[in-house]
Amino acid sequence: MLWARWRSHPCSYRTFFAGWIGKKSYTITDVRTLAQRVVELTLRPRNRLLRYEPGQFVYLSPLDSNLSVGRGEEHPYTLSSAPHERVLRVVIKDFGDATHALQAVSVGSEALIEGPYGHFFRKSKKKTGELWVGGGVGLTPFLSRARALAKEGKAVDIRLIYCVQDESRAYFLPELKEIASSIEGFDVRPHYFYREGPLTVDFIAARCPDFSAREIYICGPTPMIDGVRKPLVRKGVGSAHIHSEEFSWL
Amino acid sequence: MKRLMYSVFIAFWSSVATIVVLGALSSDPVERAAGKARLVTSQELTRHNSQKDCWMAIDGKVYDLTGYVPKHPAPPSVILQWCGKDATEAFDTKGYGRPHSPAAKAMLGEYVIGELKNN
Repeated sequence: MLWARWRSHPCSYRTFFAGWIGKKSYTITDVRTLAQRVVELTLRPRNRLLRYEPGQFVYLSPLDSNLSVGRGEEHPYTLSSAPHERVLRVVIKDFGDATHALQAVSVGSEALIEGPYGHFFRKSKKKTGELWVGGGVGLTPFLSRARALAKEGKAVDIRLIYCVQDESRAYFLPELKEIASSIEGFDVRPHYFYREGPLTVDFIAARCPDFSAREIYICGPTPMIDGVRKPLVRKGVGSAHIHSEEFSWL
Repeated sequence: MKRLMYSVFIAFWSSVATIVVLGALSSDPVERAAGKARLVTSQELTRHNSQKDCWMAIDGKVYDLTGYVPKHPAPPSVILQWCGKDATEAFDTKGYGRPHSPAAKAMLGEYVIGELKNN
């Protein structure tokens, strides 16, 4: 158990070990444009497929010689695929030079994958119902878990609030609605910034009145998380029951 | 005893000298900015129009908001579209008739780098 925890913490394990032998070779088999400046890459392993849990991330180093910037550079991406799939999928938004170049990465090129890391969903859960808040590409860990739950088919008690700028940016909404219709107890609501402004606790309360009785997971841009974390605590949610992961552009 | 006092004497004044030198080298950024308030032409403004180099003119003053853009509580494109432009109206209305809060206006002051030149 201790090994697993040490192994999944990037700083120690990577520093001393994984940097040398941890990187595995994958081939990019598909580059799907989801929206302007957002793509989903599909990767097939050369050897064994990575074993991971929903919500975990990997370090991806693209080796495509056609890349103008970022060849060989590693960056972390949360896996959007579910563990039962035979491929890995990651969502890459254009945040800067390397991710901009990756928008047009060549199909058939190689990429090195190292991981998995992270324990977003592994943190202790005391409450049975869950509230998920995903902003923009911060939806990715929830997408992975939703895809896994759809495969399992069991009933759940999950409310998902998907925060995007407007309808044109809600590229995962159709798939999420389909998953919601196939799983009992899984509910998806969109939040559109152009109509509602920034996400507020009032919006959450209106869409999910029993939010304080749920385990809350938030993933997205730092300002979005900051905008709701303290207000949630002030409304009586224990901070131990709020799990957040920031997708910040550095 | 004499040796000890001598050493303390040297150590003390060395510390003072270090602090003075460091103080002179890193002057307060706001003071520096105010001291060097520059005139920015609209032409120069339009050159700083990207995520990595984002200037805006608001109410006659020019701000370098590059460091702030990731912290702005809205999807990135909402603010990025104004890089390199006069964003006075956008700032005053947020695009839908609601002004920014006083706190936001106060934060803006940290990013000022000059004034927009009137032609």
